[in-house]
Amino acid sequence: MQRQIPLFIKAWFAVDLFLALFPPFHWIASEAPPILGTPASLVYLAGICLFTLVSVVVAYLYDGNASLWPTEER
Amino acid sequence: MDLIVTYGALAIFFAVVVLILQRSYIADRDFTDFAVAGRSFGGFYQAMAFLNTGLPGYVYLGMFGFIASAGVIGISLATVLAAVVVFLMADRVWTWGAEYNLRTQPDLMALRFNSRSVRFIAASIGIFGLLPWMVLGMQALGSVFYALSLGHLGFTASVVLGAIVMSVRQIWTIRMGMRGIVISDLFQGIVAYLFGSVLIVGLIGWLYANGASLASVPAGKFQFPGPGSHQPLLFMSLTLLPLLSYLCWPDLFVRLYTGSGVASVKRSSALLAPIAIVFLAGLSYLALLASTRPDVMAHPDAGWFALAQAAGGPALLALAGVTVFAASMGNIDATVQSIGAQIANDILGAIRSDRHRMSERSLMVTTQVAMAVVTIASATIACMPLPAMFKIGLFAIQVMVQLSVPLYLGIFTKLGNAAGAAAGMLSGAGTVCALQLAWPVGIPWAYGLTTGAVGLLVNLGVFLMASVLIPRTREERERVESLFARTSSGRDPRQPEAVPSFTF
Repeated sequence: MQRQIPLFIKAWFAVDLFLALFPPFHWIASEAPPILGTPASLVYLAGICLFTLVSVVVAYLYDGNASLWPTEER
Repeated sequence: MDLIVTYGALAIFFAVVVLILQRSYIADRDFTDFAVAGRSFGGFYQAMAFLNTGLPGYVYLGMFGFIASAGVIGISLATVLAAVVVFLMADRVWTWGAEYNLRTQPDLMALRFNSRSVRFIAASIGIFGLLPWMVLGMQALGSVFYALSLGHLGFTASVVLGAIVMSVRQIWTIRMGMRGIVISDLFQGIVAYLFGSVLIVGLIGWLYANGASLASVPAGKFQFPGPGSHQPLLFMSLTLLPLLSYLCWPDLFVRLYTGSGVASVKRSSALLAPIAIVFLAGLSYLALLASTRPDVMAHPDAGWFALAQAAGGPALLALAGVTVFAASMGNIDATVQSIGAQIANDILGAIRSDRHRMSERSLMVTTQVAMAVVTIASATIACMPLPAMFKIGLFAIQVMVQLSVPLYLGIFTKLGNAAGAAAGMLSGAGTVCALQLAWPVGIPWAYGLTTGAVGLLVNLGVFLMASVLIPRTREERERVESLFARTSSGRDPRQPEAVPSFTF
């Protein structure tokens, strides 16, 4: 049975989009010094990708495993 | 001998695709079978179908070249973020699709806004957006045949050869419809993105072994345009517009219907994200590293081939060509099918009165005829010297993204009405047409926003204004409420999987 997407997943998705789209983050990533020898802009892009990946996988696991995170069924 | 290796690899790949299609042939019973494969596929098939449609051969050519030339500004986050949108849409779109037998994107918009005009406008915009990319897809295939000809064929002859090969491939798309597309997407996707990722990792290793490093890449390639530049919002625009337009592509959207249930569509999004990240991150990193090589920078759009040939000679060049061939094939198949289905279902079907509705059989035959005509016309146009075609393609995206206002607001909210949806799309598209003449790339007074983004603001304004000014009748309110109640109840009309033969 599919369940309603919980608020924390929706909030996580919103943060995914905010981090990826908010221009000041792009500008900061451009100007920041390298992190462990890697340009900060690449670290920023990799971080967004991983953060988004985890959000989608957690949303999927939550959706399919009612016993792990029991909430009210729709 | 080298030519036998390179073209031989393409021929073997093509033969395997045809063999898979021949062996998996199932006669379509009706238009639903033909257009959405009877809603029968599992998550992995779905994920590969999304990838094969959303990441065409262009990513190995144009995107690789753009990143090598311009740096991180060319890196696309849209496909990864689109996994979120697919997940969010899965429940409502699939459930409505199964309950109301929806077969195309305009079908859903017509249902949501209860309007034939909305269907017609949405289909017209969708077809207009797809056509130039069909031609460009065929031309991109010409680049593959050109690179793999090792100087034996001219570019024009290569484009003609690519168009002929792709036209022959469409025989199976026309014959098997969506089922054939999704089945072949699985194989093509594995070759293009999974095997392609292995090839990318190998090439990165080879570059490092030959002294390449990020330290030798100019620092400017790691910077986005800042607040002091004349296009400070460019990266946001380059991410937001492809993200919004991702599910506006009618050929991509229809993949939401082909899943065997809501669960399989959601599973596809959970698989789509990691595969896309590994592939795109690897390709982007490779392009940045390769940007230090003169042979790549001589022709950045053909850098993928130059790199493969330098690293492994004709054999590796052949494998690199096969990955681009596989990626292009899936995209063109889906485009042809989507255009054909919309012409039959949403253009010709919409202009006929209810009393003279097309039968399932005539819808299927009309779609097949339209697909054949579109294939031949696109192949012919692809062979002509039309340098403006890429600009037309970019313009088409700016117009097509106008579908996103009624599409997303129609799916995620109960806002809006038919008049607002239709007028919004038309005014957005009109704004794009007017602005595009003066500012084809980015609008300076809009901080680098594209014409499509400005069109979206107009579109959204008209949609919301109509929503406020035109009151909905009680019947319409109840109709929309009952539509949304079908998914908010958690009812999934086709669970478990409908056809267990395609369940992974």
